[in-house]
Amino acid sequence: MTFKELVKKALFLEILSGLALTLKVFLKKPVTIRYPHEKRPVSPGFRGRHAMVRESETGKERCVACMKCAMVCPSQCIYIKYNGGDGTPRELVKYEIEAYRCIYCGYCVEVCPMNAIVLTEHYEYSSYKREDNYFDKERLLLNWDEHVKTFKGKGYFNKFWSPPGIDIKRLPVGKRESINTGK
Amino acid sequence: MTEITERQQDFKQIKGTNAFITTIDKVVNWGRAGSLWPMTFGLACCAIEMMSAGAAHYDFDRFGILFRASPRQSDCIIIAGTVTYKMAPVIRKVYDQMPEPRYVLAVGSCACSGGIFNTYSTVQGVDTFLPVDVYIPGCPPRPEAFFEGLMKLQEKIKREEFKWSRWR
Amino acid sequence: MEQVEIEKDLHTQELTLNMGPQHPATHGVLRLVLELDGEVVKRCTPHVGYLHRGIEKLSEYRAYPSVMPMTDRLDYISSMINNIGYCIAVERLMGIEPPPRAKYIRTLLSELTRISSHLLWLATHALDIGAMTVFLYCFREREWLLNMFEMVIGARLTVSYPRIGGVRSDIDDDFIKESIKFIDEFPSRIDEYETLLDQNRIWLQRTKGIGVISTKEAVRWGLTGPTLRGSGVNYDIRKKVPYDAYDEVEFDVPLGKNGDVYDRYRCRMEELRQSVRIIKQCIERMPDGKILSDDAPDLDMNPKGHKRLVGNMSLWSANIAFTNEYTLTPKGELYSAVEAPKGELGFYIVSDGTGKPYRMRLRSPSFVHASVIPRLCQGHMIADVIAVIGTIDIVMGECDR
Repeated sequence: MTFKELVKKALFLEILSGLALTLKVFLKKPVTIRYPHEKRPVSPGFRGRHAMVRESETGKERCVACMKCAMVCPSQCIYIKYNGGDGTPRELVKYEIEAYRCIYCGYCVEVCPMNAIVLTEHYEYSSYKREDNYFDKERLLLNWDEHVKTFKGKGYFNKFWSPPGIDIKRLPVGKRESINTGK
Repeated sequence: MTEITERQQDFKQIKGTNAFITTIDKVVNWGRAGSLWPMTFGLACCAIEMMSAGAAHYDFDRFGILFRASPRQSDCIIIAGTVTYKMAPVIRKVYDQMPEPRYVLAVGSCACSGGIFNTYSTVQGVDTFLPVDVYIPGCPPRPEAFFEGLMKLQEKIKREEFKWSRWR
Repeated sequence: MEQVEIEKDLHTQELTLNMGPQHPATHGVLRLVLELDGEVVKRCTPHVGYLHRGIEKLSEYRAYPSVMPMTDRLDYISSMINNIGYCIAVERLMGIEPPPRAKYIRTLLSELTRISSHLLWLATHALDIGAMTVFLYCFREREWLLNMFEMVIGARLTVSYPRIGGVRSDIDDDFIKESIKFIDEFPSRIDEYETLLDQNRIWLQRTKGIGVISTKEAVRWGLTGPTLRGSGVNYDIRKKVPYDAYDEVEFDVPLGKNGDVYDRYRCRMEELRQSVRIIKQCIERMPDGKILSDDAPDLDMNPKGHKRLVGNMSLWSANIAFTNEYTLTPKGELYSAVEAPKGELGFYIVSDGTGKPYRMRLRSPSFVHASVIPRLCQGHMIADVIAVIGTIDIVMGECDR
């Protein structure tokens, strides 16, 4: 051990340098976000609570019961029932999402040809009962109303609601209209 | 005759003094909700967000929430992550060691309902073997969602009646 | 002579101690059964399986793109790299080449993920050994990174960002600006952590000479990643079998010498600096162009030009990814590996031609590293077991699948 090392060891220099650093950080502005009073803005496209887009003209949902979302869903938490088919237009009877089973991957939103099902940026919806977050069709439409009320950006359309890397012209009609009109 | 003003429901102040009148329920629940000590119990992904919520950016300590490593010293257990059939008896054993009153938070899709893992080895929701008080959705939930769930639990505790008495 | 007789009377015997699955320092649900002679660990038996969720089995019932959200939950600290590893495996199986921009974006985000993973490792490792401050400092930077991920894809931990044949969405100028800000700022933050730890005598005493494993033995145990490189073996998948844009960027592979806990710590700290270097090069050379290959399959594995089946049929018969009528993938087997922050993460996929894997086997580094814990903590004190668990950076989600 050299003399220098001995002095270092005896004077606790390595520990003092660490303490000097903590003192420096102690004098800086804290990074803490005081949550209920101030909220960090959610970046656009955050995958939060589900909603079904309510068509402003008819007040109904856009879903055409193509079953694509239920097929790609990795956790298989979307339950759809429809009447008709075989030539006639399908009529949606049941559209339910078990939000506590959903993993928020955004596949259903990406694959939807009509831009009917979306994930909003709302994330505070914990509940006392498990059934409270079992969304049926009406509840999903209400979620959309709530989203529209709180949404501050321009238009309703979100860049994560369309499939990636595909030219807008090649998208399905419903999705394309959504992008063009911003709804 | 002193004048009494009602500040909140069941919470009165004697005017001109620092004296307050309230029910024992209210005092006990206020103390209990203000110092909720959860158990350090990380299972999977949600535990990482729980650590984020406990770190400097969100800071659980502001709510009087301190993580305790022992079940004997804790008030609530945060089930953060997937519960398997192999793990379920362990959780039950830990829960049984906690003193009354005890609360359970199910965090994330896996703890709430099994989530994506609808398989032979995963418990389909911790409410099959534990009395869950608050369910927090998300996979994993944001740290803000954690706080929202804990605030819901605090509200629930504040509404309780006669939980302090041993003749309950 | 008397001493021996006294010890005979004391009836000292080995103590069996159960550590975990609920223990604050076992990084999840690892269970170790320790046989102790006083403070010294005689034998150590790791028990795994407390987080076995059946991901391998589950993936046999999902179309290829739908398996990807499950790989997020393998090693939940570095979910982006798991996604990329899975996508590369399926791309190699289907013969798809992602466009250069997608490759660079993936490389950039892999390295950001590696930084966030190593930060969490440092935070918990230091917390276990007894340095609380490092935990708070590391999470400060990690939160910054998670915000950046949220900016790109809209999720903090479980991103599901890449797609087979490319990536989900393009990165914008805001993200590039934020990344530049991060890599300018971050090296000084690494210095901060090192100020706290590198010379700290408590840290040195808890890490130097603990869990030593020689070069030869490390290779024989099948270690990979920083755990192997801490023993001085130059093995890195990014160099040996380059994927994405790793063959176009320059970086060094940091190596340790002694193979103890401290050397592995030094290795990972150096890797943080190398990651910053890779990110810098990725941003400089980021090419323009498409982000998804034209051959990339849809999310529901619908072949191009195929008209969707109509009629009121049940869900699974409508999903052609599960029928044998169309050959969606070439038949065969394939092993593909990427360098995850923990080590070599391999995907072994058996394809039968349908749109779902016939069998998917994961070679996860944490499982292999769990087997070396008994070797590493043999003859050490019980407190060193914590340091050993921290140093191999075990994540049970990946270990048990």
